[in-house]
Amino acid sequence: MIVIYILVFLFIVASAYSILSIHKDLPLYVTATKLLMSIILIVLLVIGYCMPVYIAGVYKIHIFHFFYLIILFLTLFTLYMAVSQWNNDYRSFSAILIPLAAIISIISLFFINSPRHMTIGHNSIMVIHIVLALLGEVLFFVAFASSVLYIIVSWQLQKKSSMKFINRFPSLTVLSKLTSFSLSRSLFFFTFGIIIGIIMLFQLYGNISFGSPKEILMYAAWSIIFILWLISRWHITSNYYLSIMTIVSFLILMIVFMASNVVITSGFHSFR
Amino acid sequence: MKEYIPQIGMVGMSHKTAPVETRECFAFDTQVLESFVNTAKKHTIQEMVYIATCNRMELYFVSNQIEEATQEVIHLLEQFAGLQREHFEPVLYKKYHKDAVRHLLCVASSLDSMVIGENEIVGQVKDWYRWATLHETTGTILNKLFHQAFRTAKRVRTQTEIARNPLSIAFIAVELAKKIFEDLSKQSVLLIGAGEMAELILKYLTKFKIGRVTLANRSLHNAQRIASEINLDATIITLAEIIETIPSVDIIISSTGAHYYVLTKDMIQEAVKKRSKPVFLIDIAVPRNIDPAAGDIHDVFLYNIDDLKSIADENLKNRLNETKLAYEMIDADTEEFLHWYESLQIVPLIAKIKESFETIRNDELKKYRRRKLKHLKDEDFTIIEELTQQIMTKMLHIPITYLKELGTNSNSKEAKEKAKLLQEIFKL
Repeated sequence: MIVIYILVFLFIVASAYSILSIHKDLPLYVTATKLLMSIILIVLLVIGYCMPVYIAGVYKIHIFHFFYLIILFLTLFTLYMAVSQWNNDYRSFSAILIPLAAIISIISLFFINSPRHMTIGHNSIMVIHIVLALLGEVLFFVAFASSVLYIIVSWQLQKKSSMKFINRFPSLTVLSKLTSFSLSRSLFFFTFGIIIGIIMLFQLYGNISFGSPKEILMYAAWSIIFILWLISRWHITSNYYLSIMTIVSFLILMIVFMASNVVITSGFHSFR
Repeated sequence: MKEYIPQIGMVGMSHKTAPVETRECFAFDTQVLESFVNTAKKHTIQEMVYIATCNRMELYFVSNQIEEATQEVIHLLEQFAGLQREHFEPVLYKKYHKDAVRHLLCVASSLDSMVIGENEIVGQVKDWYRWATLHETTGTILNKLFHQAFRTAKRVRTQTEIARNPLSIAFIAVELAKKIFEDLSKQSVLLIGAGEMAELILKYLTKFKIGRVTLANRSLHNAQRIASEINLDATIITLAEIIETIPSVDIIISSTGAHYYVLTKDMIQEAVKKRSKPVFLIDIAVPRNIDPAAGDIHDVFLYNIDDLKSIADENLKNRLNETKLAYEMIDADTEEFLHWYESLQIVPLIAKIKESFETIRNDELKKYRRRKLKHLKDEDFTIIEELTQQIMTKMLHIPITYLKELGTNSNSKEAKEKAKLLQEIFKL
């Protein structure tokens, strides 16, 4: 329990450093953010070890695990950015992704002791389905972050703001490239997540759908990401409008997803 | 302790003190400079580095008699520049010790430059330092000082924003283009009309290996002239063909003498509909060539000459704000250098102590060799020599380590007193 509070505290400090790294433009803050995120990953792994989902031959996923996995994947992605081709743009992305992860970690505090859970028996395919779906969600998160940055940089350039400020952000081309990159990966994971879900349903119940609200939501999310990916792939509209569409879609889907996990307490696919 | 160590001095003139007519007299070519340093070596000057750029001429030197050396340097300048002393001495500045060190650090960090934060100066100082080392006019002190200056310059450049944002209009335009497109080699440019500034921007863009270039001009001959001047493989079109070209270009630079909008909002709107990438419009012309309303279209970034000028002003303001931080770094590094420099003052004292012990050892050995040890074979006596050498080295190890530590702190009154006491004890 105390470790989770430490985690939230670390996220708040890391968020402050990530925002300061943009505001003050000092490499020291970027280094501090990277270091804190590494510590956060260790804390998350400790939490994961202390809160297993596989107990006595049964997978039991609590509602807290849902938040935990999103935070874990976001942390992994921010650390991946620091060592990948996106390293130069780590500073601006971390200033969006880390505070969002911090908000989710704060929300998760309300569900630490919640008994609500999903029992999946001993079918490990379900775990793969959940992991893939959440990976798709986190990458959509990244597409949202790059779209927000695209709008910010675009506004700053149109306002003819100081170069001192503009220079702290990635270029518009890099941002649109990252939006396309994360949309395509998000679609990939969502697609496989759904396919595995269908296979699992067929194996367990001889049926490919129960028509539950979360299933419908999953198909809706997939369709939206597919449309956004098509737009980015075939350059159907300008990057500016693609960014707006990504932001709006993400916010709607995220709110509905979060709410559905919290509000829906009965039926298949829900935390009961 | 001071009398042991040579002093650092400098004389020079810069754009702040002397007009170009005076400065140019001291821009020696390498042949003259070789003769200059060879003459200087014959005097009291132990180390010397000459620096000459379009904005300054400075001479850094090290000597045991610094004031005498300064007069010698001024005399040599008079002799080699062929200018009478009274004509240039009033514009000459002379700095010693800490002031000279701090000045070099400021120069290398481009805080003393005409354009604060410019990048060329450190390269120029490096070139002159290299020249001095090749001609063996540097030694321990100036080597250390110049290396410190290069480190400080790097620190100032990387840890402050002093050199980060450009000041020239053309370079700002290129930097903005990079902020939109990142990789300029994949972008295409359309230059409408011809103007000095527009051509300069195009020149800068070509330095980044810009993609396809199209030149649109009322006169095809003019367009061809620009292409050959910049050494460009460009497509040349007439002004009437612009409308078909704009959807496929990423950067448009406009600089015609037209008194109407060459590119209207509708034209840009239509072009943008046919593309997904942003478009960067640079309107250098007065009166303006591009309808300002086009700047309201999403993914269209329109900058006119005033926008670019105001960014340049703001960048200059930012650079000036950063100078405070840069001066703090320079002061800290000056102190660090002086700390090392002060530690040098103990070196001659250590040498004198060693020399004094060595003299005693040699005298005693010679005395014993002549009398009590004359029966020994040469090889046996060599062993005794080695033994006494070892004993002396071991006995001096602790006091010398102590002296070295004292040296790093030799600026303090206590350290000076201790060193004086040692000199008295050993009668050095």
